[in-house]
Amino acid sequence: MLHKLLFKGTIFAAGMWILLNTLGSMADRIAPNDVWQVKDKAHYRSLMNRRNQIQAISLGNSHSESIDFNVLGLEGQSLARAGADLFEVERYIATVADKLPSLRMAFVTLSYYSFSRDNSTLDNMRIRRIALYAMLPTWLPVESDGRNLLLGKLHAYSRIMSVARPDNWYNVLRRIRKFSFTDDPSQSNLQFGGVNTVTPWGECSHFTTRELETHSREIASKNVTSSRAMEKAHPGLQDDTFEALAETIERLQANGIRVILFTPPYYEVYTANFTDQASDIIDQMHWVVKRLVGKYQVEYYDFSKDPKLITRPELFFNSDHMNDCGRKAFSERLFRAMIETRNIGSISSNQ
Amino acid sequence: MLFNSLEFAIFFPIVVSLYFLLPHRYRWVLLLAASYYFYMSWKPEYIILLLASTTIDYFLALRLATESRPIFRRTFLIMSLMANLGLLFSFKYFNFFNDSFRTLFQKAELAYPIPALNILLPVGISFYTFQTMSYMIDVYRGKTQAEKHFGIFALFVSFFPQLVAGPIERSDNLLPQFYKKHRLDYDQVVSGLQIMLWGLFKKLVIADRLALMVDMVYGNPTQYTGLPLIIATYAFAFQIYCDFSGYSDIAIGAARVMGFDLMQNFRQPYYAQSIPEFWRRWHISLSTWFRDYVYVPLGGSRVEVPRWCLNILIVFIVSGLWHGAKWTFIIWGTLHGLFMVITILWNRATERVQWTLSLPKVITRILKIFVTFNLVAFSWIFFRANSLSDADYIVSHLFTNMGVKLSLRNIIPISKFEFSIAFIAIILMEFIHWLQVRNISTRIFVRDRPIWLRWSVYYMLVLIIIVFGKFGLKEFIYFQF
Repeated sequence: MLHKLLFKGTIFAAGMWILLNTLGSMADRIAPNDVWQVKDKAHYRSLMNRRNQIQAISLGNSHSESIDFNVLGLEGQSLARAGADLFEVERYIATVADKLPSLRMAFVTLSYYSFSRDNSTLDNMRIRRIALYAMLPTWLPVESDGRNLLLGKLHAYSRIMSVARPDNWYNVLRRIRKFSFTDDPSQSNLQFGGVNTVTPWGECSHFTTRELETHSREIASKNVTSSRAMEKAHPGLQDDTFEALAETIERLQANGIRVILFTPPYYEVYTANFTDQASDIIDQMHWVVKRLVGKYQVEYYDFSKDPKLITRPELFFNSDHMNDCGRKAFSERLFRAMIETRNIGSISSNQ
Repeated sequence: MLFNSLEFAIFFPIVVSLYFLLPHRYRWVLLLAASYYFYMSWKPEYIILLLASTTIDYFLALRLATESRPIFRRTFLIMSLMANLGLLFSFKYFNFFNDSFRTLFQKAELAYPIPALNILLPVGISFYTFQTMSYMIDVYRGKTQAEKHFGIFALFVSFFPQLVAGPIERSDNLLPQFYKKHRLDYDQVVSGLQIMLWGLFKKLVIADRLALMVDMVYGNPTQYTGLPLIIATYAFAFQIYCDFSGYSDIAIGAARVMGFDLMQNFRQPYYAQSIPEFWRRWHISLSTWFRDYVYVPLGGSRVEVPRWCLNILIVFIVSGLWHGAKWTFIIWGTLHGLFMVITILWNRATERVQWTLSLPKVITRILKIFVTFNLVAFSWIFFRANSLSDADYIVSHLFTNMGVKLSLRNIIPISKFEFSIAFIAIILMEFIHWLQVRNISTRIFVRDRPIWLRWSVYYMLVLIIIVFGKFGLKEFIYFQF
């Protein structure tokens, strides 16, 4: 009886595994669940393909994409992950740090809400944590996060999350019906029209001032709301994120890697909107950074109020993300600041 | 730990595997530990209430069984009932009555000093207290023997498949099964898994999808009038059925995998041709509980008609209160009581009248089903509404603005795609129900097909659940009771 059950059960499970992988691959090809997942995987693949050459990495949420390593003259790789929290940054570093023999520098973004974020606390953000576990070859979860680790590993081996999609296959079926298997421009992240401007760093497309203002209102409010919800769901979140970042810094410093914390430039209206709604979150962030800088003697560069960058709409893709021109402009200024600030353990604010 | 969670997907196979690997004499220990772990995964401290209820009833039942003097026997029974009802009152009803008295006092402009209790309702308290009360009453009536083994009794109270939302089992059905040596039976395991899958389909594909629409409308009813309110009410009728019967199916299936037979809780209730028939098909374990332990002791139908009607009303008002400490539930129960009374009086009045209306049988049956379903759906308004004023608004606006031309988006506040999935899934479910009403068991039908067809059906059902299920871990509605 037991043999029959085990035999049939195994065959059934194997069949299910094949079905899930087939359907998951098909769905991912036709209409990927989340564009950011595709980007995350591309970043990770690129890192692993060049692991012996990589000298610098940038880590954190999508704001860490603002560094252009070519300007810095480094062989670098952005490991920016949309919406990533500091627990995920810690896991990412713990997994890859030892695999990068040439790594000398790690840039870690600190956004206004970095210390008020725990993706595992909100249902709509948990997928980011699960996707990280699925992507990285690690079996060590963030503390008390075994459930998401299991889901991540289940997804890694069965593609189950590509089959159990939040859109219930709506986008896949729509594309199949239309015989359209390429990216639909109407599905792009750009909510607004955008314009092109020639800058000293080249020609770049960007939002108009009015569009940036609209975007900044929406995104600041969204970020504040989710941060508040996460703080509520995770008492002591600030201390825990501090610990996570401290662990990241310790690990990197133990490997002789220079850690550079930075806050990238945001379009000025974004900062104004964020401050209006949650100045306490920004104050807390600065206070925590001070503690970190004092304890670990790391560098911190705050460009969030840099007047040479934050007033120029042509440097922004949207109100809290820079475009290619902005990345170059910012990287130049960061590079200069890094040269000027030779003494490690400093806070540099470009205001 | 929800049945539709990853935790349960890991927990259940481990428990089942260990259960069949362990020698029979240790199995109760495993099941008890697993049941307590299952319960504690919600809020560990509430295990104390479960333990208190278990311990009190265990010792009182033993004392009652050895006592021959009626006065003492009755005293032990009353002590047990008071303990269980006291738990229920403190954790479920105190704030309701307290708030109601406060409102009364305020209206009379009198001071009311008793503050509200800041406590969370322990999961499943209404279910396990009712199960232990039925045990005590059965011991008192001599219908069942007092259980001497504390561990087995504790397991009877806490058996994890049915602990938090039933079926409310009777001691004479469940207790002996813990002594029975269950062997691993392939057909039983497959049958249990089939029932669990069917339950998951109802919960994840239908109930949680309809919840999107129902929550939207009932969460803010004043934004809607007419058709959207009607559609949301019908949607809730299917949501609550799929949610609760889905839970019961998973519970029954999980127990069957281990060799236990739990009582059937639903029998295609929306095919009922009258309200009394509906209650023979809906939440059977609770309605039979009320029948055996409230209705019959009150005199049942063996009394004068006015008293009979009163008995029915009492049972349904108490049943409404059992569901929740809110006036909306009491009105829901009262409505059902009134429907029952009207049906009984109507049947008595028409017994002697020969009907001349000669409609074909099938039309009469469809008409009866239609009327019954609509009465039930109407009463669900009170069950689902967040407050009496919301219910009042919905009832008074069900048929307003019917002439106004609305876009589909305004009538059905979820996407066409979501609505279509729910609609097709309900049609599929009702087709299966229709077969069952005709005594055609789909499980037996599938079981007798060749393996390739059988497995195709299984794969299809699993994939439908994975592809079209809503995986937001929405709690089962009856957990709040």
